[in-house]
Amino acid sequence: MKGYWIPVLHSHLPFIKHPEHDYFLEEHWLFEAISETYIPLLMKFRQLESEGVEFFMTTSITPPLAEMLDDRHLMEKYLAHLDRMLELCNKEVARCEHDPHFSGITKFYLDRFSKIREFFIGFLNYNVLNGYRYFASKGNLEIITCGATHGYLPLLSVNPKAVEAQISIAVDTHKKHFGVSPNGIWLPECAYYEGLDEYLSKYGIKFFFMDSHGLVYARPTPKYGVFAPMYTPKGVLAFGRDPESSKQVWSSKEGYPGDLDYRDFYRDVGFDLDYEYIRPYICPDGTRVFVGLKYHRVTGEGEFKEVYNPIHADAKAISHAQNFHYNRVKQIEHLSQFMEDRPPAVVSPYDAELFGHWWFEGPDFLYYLFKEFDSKKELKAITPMQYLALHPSNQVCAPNPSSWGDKGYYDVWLNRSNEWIYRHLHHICDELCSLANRYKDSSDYLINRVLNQLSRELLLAQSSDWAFLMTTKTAVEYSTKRTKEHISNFIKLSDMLKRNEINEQLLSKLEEKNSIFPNIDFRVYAD
Amino acid sequence: MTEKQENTLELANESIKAFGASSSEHAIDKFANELPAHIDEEYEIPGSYGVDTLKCLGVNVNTVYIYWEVTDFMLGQFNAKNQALVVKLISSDDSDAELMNFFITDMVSSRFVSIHLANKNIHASLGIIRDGIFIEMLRSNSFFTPTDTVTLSQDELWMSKTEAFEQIIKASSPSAFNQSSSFGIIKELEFLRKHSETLKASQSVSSFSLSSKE
Repeated sequence: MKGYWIPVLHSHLPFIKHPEHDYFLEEHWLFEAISETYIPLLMKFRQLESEGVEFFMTTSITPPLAEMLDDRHLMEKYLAHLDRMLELCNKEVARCEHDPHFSGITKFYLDRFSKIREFFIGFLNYNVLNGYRYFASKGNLEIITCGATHGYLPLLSVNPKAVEAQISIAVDTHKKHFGVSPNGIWLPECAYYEGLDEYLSKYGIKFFFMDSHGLVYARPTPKYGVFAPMYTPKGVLAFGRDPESSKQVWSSKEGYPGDLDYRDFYRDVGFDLDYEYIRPYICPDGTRVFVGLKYHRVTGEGEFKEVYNPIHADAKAISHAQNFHYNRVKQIEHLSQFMEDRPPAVVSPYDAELFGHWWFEGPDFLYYLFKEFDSKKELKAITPMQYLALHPSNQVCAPNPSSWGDKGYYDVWLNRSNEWIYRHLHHICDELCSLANRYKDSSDYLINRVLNQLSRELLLAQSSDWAFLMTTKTAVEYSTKRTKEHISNFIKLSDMLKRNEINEQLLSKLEEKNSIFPNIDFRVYAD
Repeated sequence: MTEKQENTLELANESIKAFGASSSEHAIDKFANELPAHIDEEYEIPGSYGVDTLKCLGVNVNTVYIYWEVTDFMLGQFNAKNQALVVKLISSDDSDAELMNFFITDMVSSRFVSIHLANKNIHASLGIIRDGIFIEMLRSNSFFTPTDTVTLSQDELWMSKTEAFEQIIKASSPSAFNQSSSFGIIKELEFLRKHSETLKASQSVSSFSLSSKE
């Protein structure tokens, strides 16, 4: 065995729930992720298990994602969405029955969605988390947590309680959903700041991940770069991202997902088909959106796209898995000459939703890759805890403040497009801390409900996704409104409390809509 | 440069050779479409909170972000209603040495400051200059800035640990956790390393060990 590969998937979506609407576009982010990423991955894990293939992987399930996957309202909507997709698939099979180009691909989607539905109601028993729990119990998956609402910790750290609450609520939520404390954490956006390890250590976190320069520019630079983890001064193990293996998958130009035989992400029947025909499956207001049936392959850079052929794409997934494995072997052989007391470890973290949603064949690639590791036995795929058991002694260095965002620091989450949010996030957190101290001994049921909802509104406003989307300009209006919504809700609730005029109807409405963390205790913000 | 340091440098270069892999794309981008938002209500938020505030955040190795709110009440307290206000950026590590300053006119505003600061504890200070002397009215949080350079060292501190690590460190070297920086803690731990053999021998169950690799 020449070295280790530590694959990590970061599974996250922001908390989006709109019970006031039957159809809400942004709720579909979750539905698409379930059908295209989470279920296909779990189906591939099940296949590996049935074939007796050894596989080990680390995956975060962030608290907002876990809360949504466990939310009855959202899961009822997901099932309805699946049924609507199957209805469309059936119509498509009938429409293309005699079409020599599209009859195969329409049958492919009907078969695929039928299997997804069967897996969801059968093996998963209507709850995707059951699949993750199953493979965690088998030892295949190391499930880790994240910030409670994916708050960007360095920029919240002006009030240490904000950071502590993000971590402690995340740990509690992980215990609620998975029955155990998390060993590791995916820091939101891999964002680290000086002193963060104190809070990680306090809540029992044993390891986390950083981008490469978090380790390479540590003080001192660790002897093995990112090819072995290092302890922070507070004794938490930091693993660094290997840039080479990241780029092979991430890069839209050089990475595997851009292969011409893979499914094209942008061509979708939501835009391609006759408007009146597709109208029942797009936005009720008539706006065309992606519906998830994509019939073409990448083909090339031009407008012209050929029909997708799943068999050809599958062959490419096999060859890319072999190529990835070969490159890791060569990389590790090269690195070994500089490492005296242990084999190199290559850490490859990716957004989970890259696999399946963006890169349709991603789950197949992972399946073939684990088979390659298992059959060749040159390298071993392991988890951080397995690494720690094998190599408990590691160098101690102070990590460099950094993130995995564009340019490597905090720029994406703090720039001219989103700077305005921090004044509010800091102020309302200070306000909540002050109220929590004032009412920490309160046994008044109504007052405690208000304080708990204040905590939820603050946490939801802190989600790093809103600042990110403001920067990338992909959903500026929605992310701006969400940030303002939670700040505004917070101010309304705190005014109610200060005036001692609690509007129970408004409180109940907010509790139903922004229902994340039903068991939250506002005292996490008290001294 | 020693052979050991050359090896470290080689691995450091391997570790960041494709630094561009830091991603401007995240999966959520692929879900998001810029379509009319479906939130029916408009939400109003205040432009200011009537609370004197000064906050300082590092953005990257070359940029610091500062925002402030100054109330009339505080200006009155300092007898500073018609005086120019100045914001200073201070290095907390170097006896509060001033790094730069700028005058402000807006009572609620912010600024991105371009300045190369690596591995420094910094904070901002807002006040007035009276008779040539700076009078501080507000002081911000402090923030440790990142770096973009490799730090080679002859010394290596290694550690094995299990569950009771922090309690033992605290008991063995209480000053270690009072250090202002992580690097300060490492220096303390290096000192502790010299005593680690004695410490290990005195424990019936070995919970951690510190060692040097030459």
